[in-house]
Amino acid sequence: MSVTDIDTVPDVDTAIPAAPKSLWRRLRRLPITLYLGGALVSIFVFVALLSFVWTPYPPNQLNMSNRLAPPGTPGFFLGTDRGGRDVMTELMLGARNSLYVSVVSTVVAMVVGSAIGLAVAGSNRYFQGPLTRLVDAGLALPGILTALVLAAKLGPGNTTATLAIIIWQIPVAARVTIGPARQVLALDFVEAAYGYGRRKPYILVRHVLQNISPLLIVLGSVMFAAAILIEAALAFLGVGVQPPTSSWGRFLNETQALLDAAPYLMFFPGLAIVFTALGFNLLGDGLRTVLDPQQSRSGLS
Amino acid sequence: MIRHTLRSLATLLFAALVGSIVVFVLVNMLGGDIVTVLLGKEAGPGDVQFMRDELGIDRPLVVQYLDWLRGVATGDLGTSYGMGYDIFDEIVRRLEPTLMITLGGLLVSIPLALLLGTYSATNAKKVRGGVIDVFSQVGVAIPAFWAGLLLVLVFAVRLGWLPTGGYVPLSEDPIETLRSIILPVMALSLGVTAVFTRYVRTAMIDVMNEDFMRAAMARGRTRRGAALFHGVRNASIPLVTVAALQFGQLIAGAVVVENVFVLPGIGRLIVTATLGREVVVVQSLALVIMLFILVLNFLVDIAYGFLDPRIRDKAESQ
Amino acid sequence: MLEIRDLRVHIDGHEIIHIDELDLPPGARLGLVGESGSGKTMTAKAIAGLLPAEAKVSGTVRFDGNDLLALNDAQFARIRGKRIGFVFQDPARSLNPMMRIGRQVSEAIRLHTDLKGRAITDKVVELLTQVQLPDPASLVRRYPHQLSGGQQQRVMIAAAIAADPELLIADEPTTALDVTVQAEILRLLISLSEERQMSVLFVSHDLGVIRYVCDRVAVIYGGHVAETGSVDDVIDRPRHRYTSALLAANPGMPKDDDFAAFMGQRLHTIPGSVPAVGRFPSGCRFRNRCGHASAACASIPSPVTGADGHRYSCWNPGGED
Repeated sequence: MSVTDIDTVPDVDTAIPAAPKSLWRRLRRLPITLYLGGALVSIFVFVALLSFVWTPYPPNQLNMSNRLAPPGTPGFFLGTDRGGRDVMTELMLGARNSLYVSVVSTVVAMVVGSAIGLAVAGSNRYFQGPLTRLVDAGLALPGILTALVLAAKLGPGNTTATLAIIIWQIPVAARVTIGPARQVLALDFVEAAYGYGRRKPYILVRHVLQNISPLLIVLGSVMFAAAILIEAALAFLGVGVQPPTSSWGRFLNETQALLDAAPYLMFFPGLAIVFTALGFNLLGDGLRTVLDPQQSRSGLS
Repeated sequence: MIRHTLRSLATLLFAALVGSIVVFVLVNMLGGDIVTVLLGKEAGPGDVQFMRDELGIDRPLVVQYLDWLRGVATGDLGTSYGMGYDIFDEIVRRLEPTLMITLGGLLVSIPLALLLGTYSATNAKKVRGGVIDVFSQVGVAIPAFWAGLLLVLVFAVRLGWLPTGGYVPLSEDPIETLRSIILPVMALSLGVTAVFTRYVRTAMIDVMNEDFMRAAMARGRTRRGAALFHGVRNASIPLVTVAALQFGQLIAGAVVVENVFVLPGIGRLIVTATLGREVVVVQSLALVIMLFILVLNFLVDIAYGFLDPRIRDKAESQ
Repeated sequence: MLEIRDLRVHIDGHEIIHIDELDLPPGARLGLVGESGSGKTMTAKAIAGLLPAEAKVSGTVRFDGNDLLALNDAQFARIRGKRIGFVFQDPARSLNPMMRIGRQVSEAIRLHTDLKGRAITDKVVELLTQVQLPDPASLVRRYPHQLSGGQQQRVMIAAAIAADPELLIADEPTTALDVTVQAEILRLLISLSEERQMSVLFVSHDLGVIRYVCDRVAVIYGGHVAETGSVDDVIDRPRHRYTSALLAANPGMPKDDDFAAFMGQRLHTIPGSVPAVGRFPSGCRFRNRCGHASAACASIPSPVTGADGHRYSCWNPGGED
């Protein structure tokens, strides 16, 4: 998952915007990962939103006469599951659930995490070392542990999953914020701002936050991918979202018993997860290249 | 060196303390009474009171927390309410499959990632390097449980070469043990390898740009020779720091993979306990797993100090 | 020893370097001098095949009769370190921080000679003694960060000459060092070159240093050789206007070999600055900064060769033959 990419997000001081060129030339120079990731993410969001107004069949409509129809069956493009539910409908609803969980968890974790990161970066040097190392340790702990503890106490469900992802992602967001925020704090204009009497909280929000915002955008994209993957894993284990809400992970859990009878059932939800997570990761990669030409050129000069 | 070790130890203890508090708070202060969770809403007042006394829930939270810590430290983790087993004994009983697949995962993924990442970095501008890049991007996005299902479908259900799941202990039949962990290890390694390959690639590309690499070439190393003799050694420094993150990933992967392959390990235990709402079991297991990861991190931190002569000296001179 | 003909380096479609003709006689010490951005370092690296893959190098560099530029990476590697040694500008960054000194000095020996085990150690100690490092036997086991900058550069030199190369390329070897250490390193290079009959290609932005070390010099501007010849000819009787400008920016330079007197005197200001890649004027590359430019300078000046290989490319040369 993508805790992974946090160490390669751009350094702030190297993020120099490209010289203005004609729009077409600039678009053509954008990295392919940006387009590919953007396309995958757009499809995902579109399908998830579309499910609110249209699905091939009403949600959870059972159709016992059409149980386990293979893909390509007339009327059931991707086939049906054990209860005769249309797979395409289920997948669209699953996208909705993925989107919901990942939006909520990413936004909350980003806000809280980067606030903590800013506070740590702005704290005095006696606190900074231990706090940073604590955040590091938090980073090493897998999110699934929190999720299981929460699920045991609160019961499984979307809220539990969302809460668990938030708790897990907060150190990630904090860790990514600390380093660059510290770099910005060391810049001359920040010194100058102190010079004419600005207080630290103002500087942190007004100057530092603004300077590291490109990095937070990249981070957001990568965190999204991680959230999608962990939501699916939790649902697969049965500690995430519960019936009747549709979810890719839960769908895969149900197909496990049918590996022999209907192996094709496991392909589409799995591919949906892979392409969505891949999309967000690629988008993050592409954004990083655009926002930080220096870093992405490393290896050339 | 001593200073470095002490600081790592302090971090370990501090992180363990904070982690245990977080787990304790999650379990005891969120979403109502444990007893209601354990017994369900229909339990009579007599049963509830019996349970409360049993668990010592009416004592102050701080006392409960310290009691729990003392239990963990002495190996007394409590008993399962639903199944009646002693939690500590159960962990010991289930350790083998978990260790087998996590160690297997490490042994497969780390060397493989070093190989792939180095290859991709030295061929960064060529198609071959790009293929590895694509593999690692896609590998990161494939959930371990789906990879597991695919492997079962192909190698167990279709080809029938390997078992679909279950575990045979080493003491019974080592060959069968190996056969039973091949697919889990593959499923587990995929994601970790992909992630680590990306790290190796970045670290190697950074190193390849260092002046001393050019100096090595000036002494007669080829590009590849310089990468092998100088690059890998130096890239290992940043890699060791991120390896710690991989342990967490590996354990998380093991929890999921054990459930795909029905391996009777720690991961399956904690998920079963979670689904059975065995709060006490989950609480203790989570702490044990967390401590395990933190200790691994601590060891990596120490290794890091040994690896880099600059850190070694800095620590000595202070 | 070294014959460069029509050497060109292209990066991103821009021609960065074009050296039409430049020779280094056996046993001689040739200086490459110019402002930063003039292309002198890149020329040195192109000769040793140490430019990154993005740089497209063409032309011929004959080394002892063989064209270096026709070699592939593996073939070139058999020459680098064995027959051509290279000393870099920044010793702190050019030594591998995680490898013991002995290991780095012995690298070329292991790669290019048949020496084994004890013999290698003996050779390394001998080399460290030659570059005048104290306590070589224990130095072998130290790491680069435990040494001073001057000591690090001595280690680099020892590593570069470990396999007894015939040519040593030194790319601004003293720029990163303290002024007091610079002179020692330069003296060391000169004595090594004389003892071993080793040719030296010496890159510097400092005419004073060049005069101290070298017997021949090539003044590089915009990737071209503006003027080349013996140190005495070029520095005392400069013809190219760029050479004169460089000298004028280096006032009061004494003629004798008293190095200490030059220390601290650097190239200062020539009007304007070196243009960015691809922004050089057509014709004579220096004409937009030259006080003597005329209409003729819009076309490329053809080289004029005088006595003792004194050659320059200038439409309005100063001085007299």
